[in-house]
Amino acid sequence: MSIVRINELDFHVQQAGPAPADAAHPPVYLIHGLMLGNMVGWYFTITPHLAKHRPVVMYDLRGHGKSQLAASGYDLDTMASDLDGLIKASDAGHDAVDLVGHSWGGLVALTYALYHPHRVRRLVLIEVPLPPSNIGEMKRFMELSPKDMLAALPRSAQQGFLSGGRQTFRLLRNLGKLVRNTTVLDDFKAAKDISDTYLSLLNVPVMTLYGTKSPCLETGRRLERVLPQCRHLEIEAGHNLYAEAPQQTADLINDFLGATVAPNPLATV
Amino acid sequence: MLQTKDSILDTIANLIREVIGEDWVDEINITQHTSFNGELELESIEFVALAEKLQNHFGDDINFVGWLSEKELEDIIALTVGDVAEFIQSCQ
Repeated sequence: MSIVRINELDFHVQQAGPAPADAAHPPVYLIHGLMLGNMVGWYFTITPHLAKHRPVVMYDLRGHGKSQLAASGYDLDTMASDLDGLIKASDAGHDAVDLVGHSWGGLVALTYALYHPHRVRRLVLIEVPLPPSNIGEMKRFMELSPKDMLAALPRSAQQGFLSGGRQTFRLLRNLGKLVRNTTVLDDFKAAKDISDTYLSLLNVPVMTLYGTKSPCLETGRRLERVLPQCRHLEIEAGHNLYAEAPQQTADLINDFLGATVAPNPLATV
Repeated sequence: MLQTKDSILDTIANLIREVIGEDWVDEINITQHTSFNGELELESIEFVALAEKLQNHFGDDINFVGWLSEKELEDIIALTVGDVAEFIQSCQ
């Protein structure tokens, strides 16, 4: 599978690990962050370690990577609907799937889980900011020009191969198209907080993974207080912790998702 | 049928040109020493596309993601066309 049509857009999808239909484990869907992210951030970091145990599905969000650029629909509801379409399109007969999301991608996963809790077996939220746009550092980052955004990233977040002129040029060109030709920044700024009351109703086992050096850390501690089934972990890293510590991140996720497919004991709570 | 390293290198070179799809790459002599990140300045997402094409060509026994799990990021950044050819040969 490579291109999947969802919500009238072409999405770039890649799978790794065992085929979902043959696997003992349900597939895990990885959802990357907004703007500079795409699925490659996973492909060269935690995917190889997760794929040893379970089917892994990665996709590029609308307007990102090799997925089609949409003029609008960068809000969480629409992006959760994109994810819903993808899960339905790649359904291999599992009642529920596992979701891992980073930053805005984590908010997409969380939104999906709030709408469809019975279809999510386990949810991993990495460095999710709440309220979505109210993290001072993120706000400042979003106001930078595409070129300055890139320079503001730590080296480890500049993903694998990024060093040459052609690569930087192409990344900036894509980012420029996204910022200039779509509603992505408006959608980002308009995103609302999710209330503690609503979060407290989420009866899905969640792992929250945060970096001790990240501006989002407080959100992780809030989620730990509010979510009914939450394993909160902090590791010594920044916002892009999966790129800084891929093996450690993958080990924690594999442990949480389980080495066997036994029903989650927390689910009866 | 088992393929020699030279014929694998030829296939990889052709698929690289297909993935990049820009005129300048036709002028480049792609050898086993050619670096994806150096001379080719391949974007990481283009490498993913290349891996998919190689898998379609050589078969599902070519498990790139499994291969990458044994590598550190620095090794991945330093990959050459010859490394990939040797990996494919070792899967046959």
